[in-house]
Amino acid sequence: MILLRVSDLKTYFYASRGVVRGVDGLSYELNSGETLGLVGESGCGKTVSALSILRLIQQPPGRIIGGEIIFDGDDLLMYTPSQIRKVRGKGISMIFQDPMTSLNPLFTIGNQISEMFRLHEGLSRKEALDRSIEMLRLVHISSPEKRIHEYPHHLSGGMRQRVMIAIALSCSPRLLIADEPTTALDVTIQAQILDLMLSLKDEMGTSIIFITHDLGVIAETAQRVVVIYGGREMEKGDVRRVFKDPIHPYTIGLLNSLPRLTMKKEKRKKDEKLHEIPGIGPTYSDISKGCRFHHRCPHVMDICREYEPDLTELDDGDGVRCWLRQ
Amino acid sequence: MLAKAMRDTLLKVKGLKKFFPVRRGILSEGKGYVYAVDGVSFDIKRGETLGLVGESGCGKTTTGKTILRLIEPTDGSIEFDGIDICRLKGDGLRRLRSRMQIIFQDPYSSLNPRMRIGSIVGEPLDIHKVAKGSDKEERVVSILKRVGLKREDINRYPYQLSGGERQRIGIARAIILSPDLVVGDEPVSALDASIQAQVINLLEELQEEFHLSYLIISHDLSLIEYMSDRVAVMYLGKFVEIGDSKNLYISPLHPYTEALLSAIPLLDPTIKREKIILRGEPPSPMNPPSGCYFHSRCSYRFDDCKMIEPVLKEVNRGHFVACHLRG
Repeated sequence: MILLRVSDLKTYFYASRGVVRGVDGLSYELNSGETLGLVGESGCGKTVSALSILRLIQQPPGRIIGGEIIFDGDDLLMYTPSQIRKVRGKGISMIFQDPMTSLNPLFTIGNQISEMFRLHEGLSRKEALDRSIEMLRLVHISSPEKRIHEYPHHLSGGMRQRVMIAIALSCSPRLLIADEPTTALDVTIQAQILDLMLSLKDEMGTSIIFITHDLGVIAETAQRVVVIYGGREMEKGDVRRVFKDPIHPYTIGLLNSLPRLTMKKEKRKKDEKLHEIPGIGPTYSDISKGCRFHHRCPHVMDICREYEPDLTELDDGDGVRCWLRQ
Repeated sequence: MLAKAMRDTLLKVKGLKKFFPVRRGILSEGKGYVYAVDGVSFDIKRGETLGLVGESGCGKTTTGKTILRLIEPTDGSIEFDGIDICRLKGDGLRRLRSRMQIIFQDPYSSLNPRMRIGSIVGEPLDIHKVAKGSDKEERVVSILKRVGLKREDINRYPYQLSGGERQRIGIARAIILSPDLVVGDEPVSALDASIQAQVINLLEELQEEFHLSYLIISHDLSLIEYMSDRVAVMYLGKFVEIGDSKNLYISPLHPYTEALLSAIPLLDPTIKREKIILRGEPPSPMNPPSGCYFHSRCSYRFDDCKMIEPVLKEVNRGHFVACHLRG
């Protein structure tokens, strides 16, 4: 069953120097119970697309100028501000990248978790605090009775991210959007947090949109993946297929450009190099015509410079946006 | 034989320590120290890449900066090409500086925004009075071209460049004096994946061309495996394991190295590995635990680990570990 369908989403930013097309015709869907990975490089529109779902785009300068976001049968873009406020936190919640700045330094941990229960479930202060202690226990924070009286600066990065997860999951949302939730953390702490998120997902039956630039994290957590470039999806599909047989030249380039942990005995030959994707990511003014990736594509043809390819449907809901596959 | 081995060693670090004093309040009562680097010894051979991995706050960067004397060591000796650099002052130190350089992590904050690219890259030539005038400009242009930039770029400012281009400037500035040793402190971690590969390849080509020795500091174990000949694993200011890159990645000896390696997300969704999830977080470097610093998170610990501090022991040829169980 499809829980969320984003179609042809366009979120633009109107700056004094021109229009920045943060998200420009992005479509994907998420099945319920699934973990979907959104992957792409900085500025490709991953985060803006997530913020658009929750209607958290600051306006001005930003504006969602087109598309649909169907969540559970309703178009979130049609909701009034008070309707969308009810969805935030209860229907869909979000974890941000930087746990240092996304908690309020002036309120205690207990206060910030309780807010969810008081706002969405109308609990009393005492009841809300009790539920907060339960949530902290769920995310494996030791002696939660003491922790609720502490402030964010008392906690380490990993602990703060656990608190963020506790807040995000407190009202058992149907969809959790995790925006680079482990990027600011060390690998051993990242392993703890990923382990925690996936076990809670199974326990609570939450679907997850996992936004990251780290393809390894996607390989480990997601069932399906959407590869985004220049505000639009280039390829999407089953994570095993995309990692084994990537089709889009960008996906192929991205996967080949990463140093892989080989753990092999023989030494790499000196002339064996990492694959490079030439050039730099799109600046927004480049996206004029043709395929967004054509400036950097090793297979570029005349048609790629003139017209943008449509998404070609493959088996099992997979798709790729490339003239080589039209 | 011995003489040759000594000649091949470019840098020899022994018992290096760096403690930062901490003062609480204006009366400086309850003074303590952050034991950032707590007795590390290693050497780097000519043309070799030593990788230094560890989590944030373990002392990787402090180690890198201390061996260049950008930070004064608290104790220990650093020998560079047979010269004890801790005793150098004034001119001697300045001369040595031209032979050891550093590339910083963040290409946004490590370039002066008010200087043009030409001045940034040419500044080392001024400081060391190597070249001036048109000679200087030629050298700047040739190094810019070598790192993949253009002649016209000398008149641009850092803000006009992308992250990858800025990192190339950082590299050009580091190698323009043809140093022997370059410390790369997370040289690609601020860059996007597709740009990282370009910079990694560039660093490797330059190493060949200029016969550079590298100390590459990173938290990214895949990158370190890819670039390094030997790898040192650091935890709370100490080396827990050091050895040949291949041996260390195939058969890690220290439980911490094992956990680090198992925690890396692999790029293959069909492989499901049993992860070693470490309990808790690294202890504070202000108040390190007794015995083995890792014992509070180690699943193999026994009584000795809490009492006696393990020292690095050679288990296989060139492969050292500091662990009571494996050493």
